[in-house]
Amino acid sequence: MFTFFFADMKCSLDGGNARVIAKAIQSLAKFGSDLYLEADQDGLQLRTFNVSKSAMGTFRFKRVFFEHFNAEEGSYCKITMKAILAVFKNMKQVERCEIRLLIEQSKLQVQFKCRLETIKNVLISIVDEENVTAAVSMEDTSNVIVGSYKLFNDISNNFNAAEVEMTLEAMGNGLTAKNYIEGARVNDKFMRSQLKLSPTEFESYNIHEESAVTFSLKEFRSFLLFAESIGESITLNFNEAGGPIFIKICKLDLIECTLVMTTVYTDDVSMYEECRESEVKEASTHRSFATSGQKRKHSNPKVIDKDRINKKRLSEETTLSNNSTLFRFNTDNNNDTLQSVDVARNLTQEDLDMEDDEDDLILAAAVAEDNALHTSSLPAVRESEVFVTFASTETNKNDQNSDDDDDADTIPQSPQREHVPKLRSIFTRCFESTYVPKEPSPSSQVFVPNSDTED
Amino acid sequence: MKFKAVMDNAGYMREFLNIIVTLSKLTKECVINIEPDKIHFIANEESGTTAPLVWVDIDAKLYFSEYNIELADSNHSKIMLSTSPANLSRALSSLRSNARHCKLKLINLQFPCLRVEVDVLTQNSNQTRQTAHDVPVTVIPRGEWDYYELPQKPNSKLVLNVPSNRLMRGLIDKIKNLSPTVIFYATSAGEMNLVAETEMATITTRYKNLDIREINPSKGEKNKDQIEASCSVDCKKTSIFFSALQVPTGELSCGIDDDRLIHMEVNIRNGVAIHSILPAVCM
Repeated sequence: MFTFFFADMKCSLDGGNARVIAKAIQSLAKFGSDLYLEADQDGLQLRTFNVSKSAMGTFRFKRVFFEHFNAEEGSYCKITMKAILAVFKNMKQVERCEIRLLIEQSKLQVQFKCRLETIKNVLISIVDEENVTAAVSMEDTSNVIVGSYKLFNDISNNFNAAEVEMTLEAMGNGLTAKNYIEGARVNDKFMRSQLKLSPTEFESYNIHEESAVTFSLKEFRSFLLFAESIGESITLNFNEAGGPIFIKICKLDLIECTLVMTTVYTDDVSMYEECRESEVKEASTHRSFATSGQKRKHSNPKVIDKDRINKKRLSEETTLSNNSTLFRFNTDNNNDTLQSVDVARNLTQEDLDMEDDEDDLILAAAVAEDNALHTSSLPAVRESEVFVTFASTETNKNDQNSDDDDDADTIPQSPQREHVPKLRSIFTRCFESTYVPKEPSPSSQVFVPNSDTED
Repeated sequence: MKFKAVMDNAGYMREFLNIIVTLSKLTKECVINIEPDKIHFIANEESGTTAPLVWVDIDAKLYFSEYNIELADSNHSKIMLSTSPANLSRALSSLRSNARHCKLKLINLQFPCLRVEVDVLTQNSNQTRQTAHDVPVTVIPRGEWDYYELPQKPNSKLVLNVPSNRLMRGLIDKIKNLSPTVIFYATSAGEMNLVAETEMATITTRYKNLDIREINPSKGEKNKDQIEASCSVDCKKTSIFFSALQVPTGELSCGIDDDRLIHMEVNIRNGVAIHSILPAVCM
């Protein structure tokens, strides 16, 4: 009962090979959201990208992989990964599979002949007639490493499942896999891990140019999964840091998979002197414990007292009930430190008073005009006005710049984040620099009148 | 301050890993107390959670073939660190497979770390793989040591050797669903009863002919023929302790102090023991 269209590509394969294709799609689906399907005289190619386009995975199934294979030159399409993943999810019952590309109908037809004479027929919409290629070749890579999937599994398992990146340091005398970049700073409480492997553990280990490449683990792991399912070894091709890394899996003449990934460019990583090994001093960690009262074991009455005092002080600082201030109000009325943001705030009162529904354009013009006015003369500070000094940081920056000229070659340490107790503030949005009072706020425009007729 | 220790006995290494895994099931942050001849781990989740207070004593000479500790100055008698046992157990996880030796070293790399280096023998070849993990630790300054004192082993009224912890674990897990508390009752005749009371029923499990390790009768009871002790504890807490235990059943002893506490002690071997204190709860 199936209508037969003229197919631009038609192939059929048995259940076992269909499961291999399913595995390939599952592996690609781990990082890509679209699947690019391409068929030519040589075979079928599946390809995907990750979101940031920093990794491209390609699976090429050769003609001999299929029972029948019929394709016109250059038939290709783009489909969503979600759709095809759902189709290739449960493959246990499948005995034969047929895939047809129907460009005319802009559909991809997948037909499964399952056990008990069941036939599953699926039509997947083609999103786009699009094909992609990447202009990278692995011809001139100087470092080639070949190892079994087990070995790479061990490397991958050495790190946390949540780890994002992995660094491979390829030396003449061995390979070191790390979850951090040597010399670079890591997060507080980050566990550095490394695994050293000797060249003899690999099937082939050719390093002509010692280098350390850092790449994403997620895509690598998804390929590893596929290598494990077909039981093949993995080949890594790479040059120096910053260049692409190629991960290849081949099965005889049937399947050829390539994953191309970008690696971290070393110049983008800042190195720190403090990341050298040294002796532990007690003082270096004083702060973290002095501030964390919650880790205490035995509740010593004295400590509680101290804690209470601390807490009290904190609450005094963070409430507006007394004289202490939450924001630094600009009472000096200093012209230089005032910004357009402050002016915009001044406008709110007047503007809301007028209650006119003029467009934002007028407001913006008013802001600009008012801004110009402000530089020359400033209205006296009204009680209701709050000047938040956003500008002070900027002036600081300028000061710093002039200082830096003297010792330009020493890179200053990036400023440490000060430990500020987290406080809940009310109406934070109003104090942000991006706040435009005319912006739609819940009260500004009434789309539906109140059902409640109280007011 | 410096600290370095080396383990090279496969059995001890596995035991050490089991202890750390046990701790990681009990707490997010544990205190390591490194003394010149002993290492203690203290797991004490803040009150409010149900995990019980657990501490571990390890005789350093036994586990470590090399053990060097260099203190900051004469004011310091030990090194006190705090770390995540989950991280530490991850770092030590390769001890489970063919580990040759394991080295622990205190270093400062951006922040203080306990470097765990493990040499693993690969399965197919005779090569060793070197893994190193830098577990971040916090050095507890001298001024705050008082808050992390090692708990005292209580002098319980009646201490008995209890059957294997697997039996106990299963039983407590069942009782947990019936009653929030369980009463440990023991007599000097070597009998121990676990009593769970509900509105509908009272379930008593009886262990007989247990070895008595210690008797400390109170003044009034000295002349009595049979000394009794009983204490009711939180069932969930007890269950957490038993299910966290990852060490093979060694000697488990249970000290009962009338309506005060129950002290569990798992003797893994001479010099290595896991202790736990379960406080009494009012019915």
